[in-house]
Amino acid sequence: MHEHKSMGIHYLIRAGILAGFSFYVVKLVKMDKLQYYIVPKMIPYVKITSVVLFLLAIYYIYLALQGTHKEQEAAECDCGHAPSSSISKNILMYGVFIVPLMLGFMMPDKIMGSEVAAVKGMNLNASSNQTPPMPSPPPTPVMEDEEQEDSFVAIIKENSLIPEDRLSAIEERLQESVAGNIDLTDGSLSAEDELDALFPTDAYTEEYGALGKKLYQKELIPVIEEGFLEIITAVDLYRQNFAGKKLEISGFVYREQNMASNQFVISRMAMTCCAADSMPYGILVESSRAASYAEDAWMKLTGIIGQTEYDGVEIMRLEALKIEMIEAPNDPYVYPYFGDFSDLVPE
Amino acid sequence: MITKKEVELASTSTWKINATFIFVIALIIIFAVYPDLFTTNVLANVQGMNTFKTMLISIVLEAMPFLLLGVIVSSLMQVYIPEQWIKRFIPKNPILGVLVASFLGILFPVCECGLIPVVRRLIAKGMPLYAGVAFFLAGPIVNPVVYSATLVAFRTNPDMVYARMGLAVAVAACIGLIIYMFVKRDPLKDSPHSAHVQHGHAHHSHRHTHRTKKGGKLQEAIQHGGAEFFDMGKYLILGSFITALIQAFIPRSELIGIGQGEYTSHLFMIGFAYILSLCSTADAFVAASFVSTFSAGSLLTFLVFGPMIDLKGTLMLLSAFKARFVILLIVLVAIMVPIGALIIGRFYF
Repeated sequence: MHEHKSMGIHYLIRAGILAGFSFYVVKLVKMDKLQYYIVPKMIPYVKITSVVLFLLAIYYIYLALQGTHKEQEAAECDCGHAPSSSISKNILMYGVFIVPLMLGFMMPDKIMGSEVAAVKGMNLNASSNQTPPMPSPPPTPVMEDEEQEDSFVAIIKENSLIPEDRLSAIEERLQESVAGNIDLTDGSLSAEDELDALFPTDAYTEEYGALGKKLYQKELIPVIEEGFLEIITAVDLYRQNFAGKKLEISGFVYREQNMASNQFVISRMAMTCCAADSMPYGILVESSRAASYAEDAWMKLTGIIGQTEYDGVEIMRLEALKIEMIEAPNDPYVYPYFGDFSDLVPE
Repeated sequence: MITKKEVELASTSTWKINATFIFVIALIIIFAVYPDLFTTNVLANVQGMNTFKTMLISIVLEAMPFLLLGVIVSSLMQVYIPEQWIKRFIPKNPILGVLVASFLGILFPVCECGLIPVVRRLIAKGMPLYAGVAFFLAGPIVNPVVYSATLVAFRTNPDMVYARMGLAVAVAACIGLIIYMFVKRDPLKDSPHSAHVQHGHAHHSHRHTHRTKKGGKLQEAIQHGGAEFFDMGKYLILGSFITALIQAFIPRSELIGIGQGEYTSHLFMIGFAYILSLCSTADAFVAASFVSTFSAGSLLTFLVFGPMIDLKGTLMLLSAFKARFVILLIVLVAIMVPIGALIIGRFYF
């Protein structure tokens, strides 16, 4: 008799936990904060889950409220899953479910910002994701004019995507330009060839090269949220070409201890499935008023692309032209883009 | 004839029902109006606590649909699918069986949170152990969702995708065959075969009478599902707890400093994948962020080892299998994946 009575308590606790999870999802949906934790693609599935859990909770309440004789039948159905008779074990087991629920209900839902970025490690070099250390060509280091031309030729020669005949034409042109005979920008070289020379690609970076070429034709490069990672990767990969161009980006302010007083990072968290796999990506910004911006403040920034060295690594830098403080967007994170890169640049 | 006691019992139970319903409905109404009711800032000011909470909640929310799906499929199989069916589905020849099982993930594309309850049920229902193991080792990797996610993460290096899929099938098939040759005892913990006896009650007879009396196969499935949800869920959440703690309080840069040598990087990646416990659809993006600091071979280790064995998964495996068997599996995977990745790294990348 005692055993059956305790089974009723089990059912009630289980119902409570299931309903708790269900309510928690409802709460997040109602407050429009579910996207702080999981990728929008998963949201419908989480909503369905909460409905199913709620139905299961009702079923458990129904079991708990039935008389002992019916409970007995139900309990015996639980083959292989009979709950432990030890009270401490049960407290432990249900505690495992209750603690995250309590944390969820009691703590405010915060956007992941500097605190998370500091633990995960800010990524200021987006293109490094796409340039493996061994097989692909190393990023072009900053060089004097002449050397740089040569290295372009070398890179173009290395890759097989540009046909031989056009390759030699480009090489000729470049050599002439080095000799001071012609100006590369005088239009005598077709615009396409010029772009190909500026955006050397190999089989692996082809897509980024194409994206870079499209972005290159823009007066102001807008880093739209949909293609955030892809655009900053393309710009970073060819940052020498983009030097001097303007870029518009929005994100939160992040700082590291060894940054100069006129420096901060404008950053976004990139999420794939859930907050646990998110990674912070950012661009170093230099501004005379840098110190006046609080950490985690959201801003829309227009700056001029340049380069600088930070922690011994050559990285992209923005020189702030215009900074506008904004509210954190409703969906504060960015996601990998699964579509075609060419859709990322509006004509 | 109604005794006084019975009347008393009836009235207390009506009272209980009413009270419960009033309580539940009141709670729902309060929540609908003030969803932020219990929120306080007490814990939020503790350094790292917010990060911990965000990580924990996100992992639990992310895994919940998969766990529920796994539990539902497992319960429906338990009640509706006859054992002969499964036996017929997997080829008798162990080599063929292991290969077929390695590709089952294409039909059932979920990560290990969803797979473990299903595999446990399949094995209990008569799927050969070696095939079940090959299924849950390869399943979280060899499926269309993970394929496309890896392809997007390694846009500039598609070889990684094929290496990942290939190595996963190779390792799963090899381990399946090793298990076919060496493991003869039933490694299922509390397997439904033995459970009836273990709990002392005459479950079998009761279950059958129960089924005919109520005609409720569906109800039986719900019963199983609910119990299994709690059974597996506690390990899942416990694993999420530890993962969230590590993610919130140990800076990644410190972890990365541990090992970057040719061989140590593989060992490091095993440990790293194990404690991060990422979903197989997401880990490719995390791996991509290490392209510039780690060799492609060691990233391959990360991408294959993580979905097969990680902290969250280990705890869930322990709920289904005996500890000795789980340790055997972990050791096998931890030996074979880095060796395979080293070979692929040496010759193909």
